[in-house]
Amino acid sequence: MAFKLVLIRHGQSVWNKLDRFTGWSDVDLSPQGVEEAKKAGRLLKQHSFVFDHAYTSVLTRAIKTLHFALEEADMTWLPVTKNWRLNERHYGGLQGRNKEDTREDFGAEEVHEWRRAFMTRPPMLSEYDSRYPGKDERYRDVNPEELPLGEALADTLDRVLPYWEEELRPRIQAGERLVIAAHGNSLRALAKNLEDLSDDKVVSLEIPTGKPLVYELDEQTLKMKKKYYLGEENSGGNWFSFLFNK
Amino acid sequence: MAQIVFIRHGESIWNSEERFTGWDDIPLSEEARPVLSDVGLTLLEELYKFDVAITSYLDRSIVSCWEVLDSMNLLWIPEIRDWRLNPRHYGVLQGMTKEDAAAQYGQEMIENIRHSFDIQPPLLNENDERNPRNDIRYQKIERSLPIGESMEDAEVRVLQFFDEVLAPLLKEDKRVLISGHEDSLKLLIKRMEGLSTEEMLELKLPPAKPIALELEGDKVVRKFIE
Repeated sequence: MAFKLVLIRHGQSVWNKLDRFTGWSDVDLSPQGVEEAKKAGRLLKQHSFVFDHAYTSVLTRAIKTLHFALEEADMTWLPVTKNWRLNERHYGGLQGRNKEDTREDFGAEEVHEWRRAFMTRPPMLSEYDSRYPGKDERYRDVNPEELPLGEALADTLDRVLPYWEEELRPRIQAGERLVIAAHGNSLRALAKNLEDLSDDKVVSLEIPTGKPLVYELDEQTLKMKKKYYLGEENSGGNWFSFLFNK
Repeated sequence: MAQIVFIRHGESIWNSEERFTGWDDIPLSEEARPVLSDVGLTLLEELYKFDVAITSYLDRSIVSCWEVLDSMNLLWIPEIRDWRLNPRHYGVLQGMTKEDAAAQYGQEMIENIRHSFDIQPPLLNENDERNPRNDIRYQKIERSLPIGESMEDAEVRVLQFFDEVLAPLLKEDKRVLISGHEDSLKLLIKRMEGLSTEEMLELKLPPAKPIALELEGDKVVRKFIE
């Protein structure tokens, strides 16, 4: 026996086409992102998944991904908890800016480093910036000292993991079946913990959008025994897919 | 200041067919969705804000809530689901057209069931597959679940909900959006305004028309938001 945990990464947002750093900017799903969410829901239904509780961030694109998926899976009644700790990595002063523009301003190498290094922080926001999370009412109950002004991936991990320890882990341990709809980097944080990935490995881990990622976890340690993406079973000729699942 | 806005879900695909719906999980009609986003925009224009949203366990109330919150940019607020906001359980009548029910049980009987306070519909058999006990969503609920209810029966659980969930939120001055069903909302309004049973039964709550209850001192003021 193993516990199962399902992760869903939200799909395309309306800023994808504009090629902007998004982070905590609250942008909506694009029509394609909506389709990706619905597809994830259909896969859950086809594979007869049942859950006890759903989790998501406080950002619209993840919440709507969960909603569309649950609608397709006939599970809108599922209790949902939304928490800021599952938000995307905070991109500081880069948020809202076009990636090409930032390359011109800061140099391509620097921008690459911000995006792909584990410990490097983006330019930080000031508390007077309109993008400072302390000005957004959805974070009014969060201790201001915990609100980021910009995060390295390492910082994102540091605020996701307490949520894993205090909220998610005990529920899974008690046998609850959870589905989590979140973002590339907050899901990486969870994956790092479940798979014991090194810092280098987690940076290069790419979780596809719109495909539910199923973890089977050891009942004692809650470490990964196996993982797979729904939709890839019976996919036939795709002989290299097992390489990605290793 | 504590505030409540009630919204009865939009038209389901059965409302238009004159069927007894009750706890059957019938989705919203496609036409209902844009109506609900407009409700959200109206609430936004009228400067309404919410700290928490509460729905029943039925898809049409949940999706109605999501449509309203989405157009208010408030999808991030906490949501509570509570089965006690479900509509009155219509027992074996659920799924029947009003015409068929009248043919089987007599027009007068059906009218009495629909419009009286204390007359129960014919109950489901405990072993009926439609008993909510067999529905996965209710499996963690320890209290006994209905297999057919009069309004009087439904009032018991609606009042429990009021005491255990809603009243504590209002005491904390929360602004609450409740997306529910006509029966459960009428019973809540009865409780909050201190209406008589007759006054409650007379209430008409059209679909997708938000109603605000504001607490001014110890007085409750009710108005439609348009």
